[in-house]
Amino acid sequence: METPKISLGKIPPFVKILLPIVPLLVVFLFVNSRVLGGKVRKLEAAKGEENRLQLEIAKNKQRLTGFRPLSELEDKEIVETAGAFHRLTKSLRAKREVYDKVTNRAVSCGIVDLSIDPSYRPDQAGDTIKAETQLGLDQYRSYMKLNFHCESKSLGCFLEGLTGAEDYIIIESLIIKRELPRPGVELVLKLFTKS
Amino acid sequence: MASAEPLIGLEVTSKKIRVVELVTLPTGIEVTNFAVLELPEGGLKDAGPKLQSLLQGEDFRGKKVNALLNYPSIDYLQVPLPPMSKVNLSLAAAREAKKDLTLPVGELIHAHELVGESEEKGAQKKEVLIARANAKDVKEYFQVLKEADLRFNSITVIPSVLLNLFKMSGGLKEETLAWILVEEGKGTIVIFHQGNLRFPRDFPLKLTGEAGGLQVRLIAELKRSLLYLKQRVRGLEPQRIILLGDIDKPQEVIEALTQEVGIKTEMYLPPGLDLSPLGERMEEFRNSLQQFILPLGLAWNGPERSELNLLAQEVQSQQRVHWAKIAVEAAAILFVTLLILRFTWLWIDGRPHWKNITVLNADLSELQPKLQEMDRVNEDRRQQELKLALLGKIKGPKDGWAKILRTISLSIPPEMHLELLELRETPTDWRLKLKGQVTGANPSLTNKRFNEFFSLLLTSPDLGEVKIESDKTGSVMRGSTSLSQRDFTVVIRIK
Repeated sequence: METPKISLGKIPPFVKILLPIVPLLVVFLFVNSRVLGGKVRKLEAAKGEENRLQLEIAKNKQRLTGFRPLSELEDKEIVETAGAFHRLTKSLRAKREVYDKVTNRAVSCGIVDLSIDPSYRPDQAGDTIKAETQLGLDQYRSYMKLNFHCESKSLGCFLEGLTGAEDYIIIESLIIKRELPRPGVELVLKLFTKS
Repeated sequence: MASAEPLIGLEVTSKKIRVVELVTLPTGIEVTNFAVLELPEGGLKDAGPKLQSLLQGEDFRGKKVNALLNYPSIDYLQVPLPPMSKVNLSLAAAREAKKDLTLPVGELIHAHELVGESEEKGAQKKEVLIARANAKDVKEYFQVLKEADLRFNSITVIPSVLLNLFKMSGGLKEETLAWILVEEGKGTIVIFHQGNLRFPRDFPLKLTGEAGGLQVRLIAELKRSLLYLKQRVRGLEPQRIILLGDIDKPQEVIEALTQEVGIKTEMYLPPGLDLSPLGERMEEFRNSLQQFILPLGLAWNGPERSELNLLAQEVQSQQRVHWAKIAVEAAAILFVTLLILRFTWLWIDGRPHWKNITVLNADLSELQPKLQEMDRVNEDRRQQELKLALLGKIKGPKDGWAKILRTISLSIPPEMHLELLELRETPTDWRLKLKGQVTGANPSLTNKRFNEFFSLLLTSPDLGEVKIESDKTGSVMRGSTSLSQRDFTVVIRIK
């Protein structure tokens, strides 16, 4: 197939002379969009970066304005708390001991239908668990779910005997439902024990 | 000193090219250069490069050329036409141009100019000078000048040049003059009447060699022309005869014509030419003035100049090309300027930002150690809070669980029915939710009981903050009795 020929013969001479404007325009547009366009984008990015830095500096200065270093008293309290915390992790009991204490306590407070689920785990990790994880208590934590029926007096007796400075037990949740003849209690205990 | 653009008049004869350069100023006409070139063996078509080197060597400044084409490449005719519009005149001139062609023509180009007015049998006529030429010859001529790096302004005919010379000399408009141009082997007679060109005619000048041959031929041709003129326009007779051209022994010819025809004859002298730009060549030009009379008339570009131009369309096209070149150059300059301006603007606009970024980065680096220290201290405080909260929760509530349960039990009125008591641990303490209803005979009673209960919770020193989470009052049917009932949920914080 023959290649089609393009002839400029019938175009007036002044139009032929004007034709270079087209490549000139193309080059102009190319340089304008690629080279200078790149520069424009860099400039916009620089403006954005400048604003971001200004904002960050202002924000940080604002934060620093409200900042006060640790006072001697605070420092002392932190050291003391750290000591107490250290002692806590050193003096934990075995889970078996806690289990025995719970059952004994229930008997002594007149709770006769106590059932214990020692392998209970909460469904979701709440804020409390996250905080404990940050304090490095994950390895010591376990749960115990108790179900029983009793009057509020017996419940008070039971709870009073369970929680205390040396047992490292925290009530995670307590639900008392109105059931007959006595209210039904669902109690979840969080224990910090030696593994 | 001439500041206007010099214009070149160029005449081609069978053997030579004569060139004169003029500058027309408001103060007068300056002759700035002149030259003669012998045509090479190949004739005009090979003369381009030689002409270019001659013009460069002689330091010609002008580029625009008014040129004259010789017979048989070109001829002319003058026709009287009735008054009509410009468009119709052009059509009539085009029709006339095709009549009585004596030259071999492939493609005809023509131009016309209104050169005067006349009266024929009582009717007013417009005298139109029509030039016509073979396009092929004109293009060849055009090519030669292009090779010589010259720019065409016009190609015209001898009567038009003579009309120029007449106007240049400020000819008297009331006079009737016969101008006779003598060239090699050819002469031209034109009659000017009251400033109008009335009668142009070429005639051969084949001299036989006998004594006074030129005078005899001129006298015969002049008489013939005057007779024709008398027949055509009764009573029209020239008062003076003006001779032009390089004539041997001009004085003898002048005397012979004056004596034989009875009309005063004189040589043409162009008025007020400033020859000072020629310097040492001034005398040479003065002596050979009659040889350069046609290029002189061509180069003159005065206000009343004849505008008969066979190249009008070509010049227009050339002008378009010229402007197109300027447009391309201007576009290129514009594009480059725009790019430079934009680049400069971006650079100027960007410089303070780059500087600011450097300064801000330095400021931020200075803040970093303080921020790190602050973060460390805040983390210590947070850890301290968490530890204290945990230790606190391990100890249990301040007043003990038994007391809290007792307080709540004692606060409940008989009309109140608790559905649920739910205690949940939070990161710092516990949240106790109480859900139930108060039922009574009327709303005021239920409200009263609930308020009492709520007040007791609020004022109890064993409990922390107390809030109502939901509260809804309605009625229930118990048997056939309608009772008021208030459903509530209360949330208590236990520290």
